[in-house]
Amino acid sequence: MGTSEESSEDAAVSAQADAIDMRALGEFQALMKQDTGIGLQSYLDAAALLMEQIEKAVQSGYMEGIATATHMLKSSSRQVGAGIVGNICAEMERIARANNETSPVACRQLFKTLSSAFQAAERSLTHHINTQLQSSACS
Amino acid sequence: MMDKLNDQEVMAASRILLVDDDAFQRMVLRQIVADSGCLHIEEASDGKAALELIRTWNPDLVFLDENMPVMGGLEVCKAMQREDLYRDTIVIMQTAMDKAEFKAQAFDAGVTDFITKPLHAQEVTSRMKAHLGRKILKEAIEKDYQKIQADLKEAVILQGILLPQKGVLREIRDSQGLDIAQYYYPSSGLGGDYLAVRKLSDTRTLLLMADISGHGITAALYTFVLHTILEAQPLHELTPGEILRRLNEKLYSLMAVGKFATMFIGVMDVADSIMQYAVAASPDPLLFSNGTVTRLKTRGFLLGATLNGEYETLSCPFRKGDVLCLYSDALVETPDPQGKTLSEDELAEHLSGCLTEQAIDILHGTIAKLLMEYDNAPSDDLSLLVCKRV
Repeated sequence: MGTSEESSEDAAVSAQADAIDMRALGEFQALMKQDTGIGLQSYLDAAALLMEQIEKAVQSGYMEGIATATHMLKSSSRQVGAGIVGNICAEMERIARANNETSPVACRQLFKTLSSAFQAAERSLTHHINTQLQSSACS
Repeated sequence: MMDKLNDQEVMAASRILLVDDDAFQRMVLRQIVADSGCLHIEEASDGKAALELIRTWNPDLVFLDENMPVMGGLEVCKAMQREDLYRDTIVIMQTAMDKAEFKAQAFDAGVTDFITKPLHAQEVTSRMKAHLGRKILKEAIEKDYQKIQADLKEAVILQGILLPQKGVLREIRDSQGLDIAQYYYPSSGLGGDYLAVRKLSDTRTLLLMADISGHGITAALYTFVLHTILEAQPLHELTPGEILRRLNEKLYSLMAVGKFATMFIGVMDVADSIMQYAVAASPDPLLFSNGTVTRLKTRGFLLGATLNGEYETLSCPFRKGDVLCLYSDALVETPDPQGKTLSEDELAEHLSGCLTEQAIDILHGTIAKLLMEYDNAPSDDLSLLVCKRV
């Protein structure tokens, strides 16, 4: 029986796990095998940079920049199971490419959702990396 | 290089280029490609670098991302087309786009196939194997085709040796006053027509024209068979009808069902000024004599079609100035661009206008002119033989 602190952490992880499509992540893990941790970390590093680019582009209303960065983040996020991040990116990319008068506002609103989704995915994937590292160390 | 390889060997021997500006996507794709057994993998992070590698490294397959800065995937494809870099390179475009219009543009630009992101390992591997397998099959077919073409070229030369040689014709002209010229056009490189001229004695010469049914390699092989059988006959002892009877007997046992040959054999005797001849269902030879033209209508079964063929030997005068014209059916059966064919009467009329010339000029000046009117080359083998007694 775990402590209340552990239960709370488990619940948090469980919530974060909803941000990840476990089947897609499982496929990624099957592909990368022992390099899954390295692969996920590569994604997280690249995604963090892309999030910065998206944020700057959103703030400056640079639609082409939003479209390019969300396009890239969309594909790689879906690859590791971060499907929600991928879907929000797809929507932002569509709006940015449309580049009409409502696009900047819509992108600003969506970016908030994207940030939350990405943070959740980041926490979940980081947890996954740590778990994998621990199991590797045990074995 | 890569024919007769199994899947594993194909993958190991193939050069794969991964082009994506996203390092993470390249990492994933490299893992998939490496897991498939590929050993030769290169990467490029933009279109320009990809083009350089395509030029210098000549990959078998390129995974090309559609969206890249500097030069996108579609631009890379167009550049490859402009520079004729495709040759046999397979290009699989990675795209998240599913727009039909974009895909149509990409196919037009030379893209072989698409994969969508996120990448699915099994799908990527299956597509790679399918395309590389086809590429190798295509290369093997091309290699075989080149070999067959080389063989055919040699066979054409060999078949040319069967034709009456200039030296023989010259000798007959000088010794017997028979001016003989021939025209031989095989419609498929190799032909099923066969011409023979044999000096039987100081005063007698045999002319033969045969047409094996069909054309191309099989018909050509039968001309070699026919040549061999003919060479084994004591031609100087036999009448034309007897030669046909013997040839029919041999060919009947050798020819496949449905195959047959037509033939004309004439023996010109310049001492008696006559020609003995026999026919096996060939087009009517034209004999020009003293300003009149005669179609030598005779009976005679197709060679090789029935065992008990009967071949009558006939004779007619063949005096100085007379001209005999033999031709295969393609001459009177090939339609001109308007769909009209040349009748025997029209052929006779054309020939009548140039009988004062030498045999070779009769051919070139009249028959070749008629051939020009066809616009396209005849679809069947075409042979002509003119013999003028001078």
